[in-house]
Amino acid sequence: MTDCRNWMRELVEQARIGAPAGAELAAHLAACPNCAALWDTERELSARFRQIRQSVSAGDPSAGRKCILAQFQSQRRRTLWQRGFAWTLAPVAVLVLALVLLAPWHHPARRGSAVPANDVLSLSLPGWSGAAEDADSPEIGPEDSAGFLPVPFVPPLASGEAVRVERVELPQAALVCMGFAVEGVSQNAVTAEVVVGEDGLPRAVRLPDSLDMQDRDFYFN
Amino acid sequence: MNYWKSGLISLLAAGALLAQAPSGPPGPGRMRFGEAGGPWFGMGAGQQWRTPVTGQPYSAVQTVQIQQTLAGGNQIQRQEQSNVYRDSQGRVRTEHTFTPPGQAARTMITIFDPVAGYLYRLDPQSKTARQIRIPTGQAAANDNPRRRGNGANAANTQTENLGVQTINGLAATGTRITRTIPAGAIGNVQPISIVRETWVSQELQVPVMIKSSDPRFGTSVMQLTNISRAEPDPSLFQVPSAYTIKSGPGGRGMMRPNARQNR
Repeated sequence: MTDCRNWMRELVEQARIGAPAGAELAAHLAACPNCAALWDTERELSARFRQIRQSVSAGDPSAGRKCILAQFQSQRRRTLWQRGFAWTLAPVAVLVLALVLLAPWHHPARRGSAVPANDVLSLSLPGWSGAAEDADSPEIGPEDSAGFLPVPFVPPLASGEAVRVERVELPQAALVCMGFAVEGVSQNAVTAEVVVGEDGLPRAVRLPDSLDMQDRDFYFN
Repeated sequence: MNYWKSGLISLLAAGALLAQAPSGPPGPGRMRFGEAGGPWFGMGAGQQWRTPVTGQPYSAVQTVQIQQTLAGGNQIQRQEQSNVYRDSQGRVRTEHTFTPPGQAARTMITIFDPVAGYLYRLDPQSKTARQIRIPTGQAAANDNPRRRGNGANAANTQTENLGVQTINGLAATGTRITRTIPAGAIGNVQPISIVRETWVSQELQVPVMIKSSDPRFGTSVMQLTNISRAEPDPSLFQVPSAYTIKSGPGGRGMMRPNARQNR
């Protein structure tokens, strides 16, 4: 046993570098089956190590290709998963957007801002019979073809006086104060188009419907 | 990774829409009642109505002061100013400056060109011009003299001729119209008296001063000042070459003064 321990260093070293056993070591291996088995094991292990080392250092094409392919497959699996998730997410996002745009709470009437007033209110002149010659603003008439109603009892325009239309947000109370008969109840301001004289005071009001508002927006954008 | 980001951004955008404030500030062209007026639109929004007058060029500054006294004694005041130019062909350029509350002053320019048959609305900020066709027959409708009250309300209207006075350097004919809203007519407990005093230059055929008093809206004084009879620079009535002209719908929804008599 003592002899085996003395040969151990040389046995391992010679096996590691792949060199043949010296004469004295060979004689011992021939006489000692344990050391001979160890010698074979060490040589085989060292040979494998050398093979691996040579593959890496020499850049074995097949090994590199396998390595790259393995990495690519791994990345591709990850990408496909992400893409699939994103494609699943995109329709969800579109659906959410559609719900937002179509949801009742998105309607202006529900969110407190001005709305196309015809959805909520309608205007008329108090006591207007439609046939009587009692228009208060004879320049405009009881109701113009464009839907403008004259503000009751407003004096007529001066000769050569220009007018303009402003789009404003009116609370229902303002319409009542003007003298209109207002049908319907709205807690919110309503969008109206107001004909204004050169003195800046209102002369007629129109509550455009939604479609017409879109058309009118053309002018304001 | 980009797909993931785009999906996430879409969801965030949806969330942002859901979380948006229920009522934001008025957008362009949407003003709250009482705000400074917008540009000189016409009877259809974006269109300007005025009677074409030829052979009487002028340029002037038009100021409008409106004051309303509230029940508690508080007051609301606002002032608007416009530069107005008219050439011998009847083309009119209006540069209207207004300051929406909380916003910077804006100037909108309109060119009323009855010669070409178009109204142009210029936005100096975006360098765009909206071209709107002026409906034919408008001038004829405006020439109708029917500008008086009649019927039941005529009985509540008094018209006074104030004679001729020189207003801001121009001879002008004055008319005062007093209209009374009878008690109960619009839900009012007491009668309401409305007074409108107009001074019209027969030479220029435009009002040089209008004083209005309507308890429903307050008092208003419009004046035409710095009046010059010189021919304005023709370039004022042209859309600058730097502007992009965009055609707009013309004629639809046009309301004409005196439209009633045409029915």
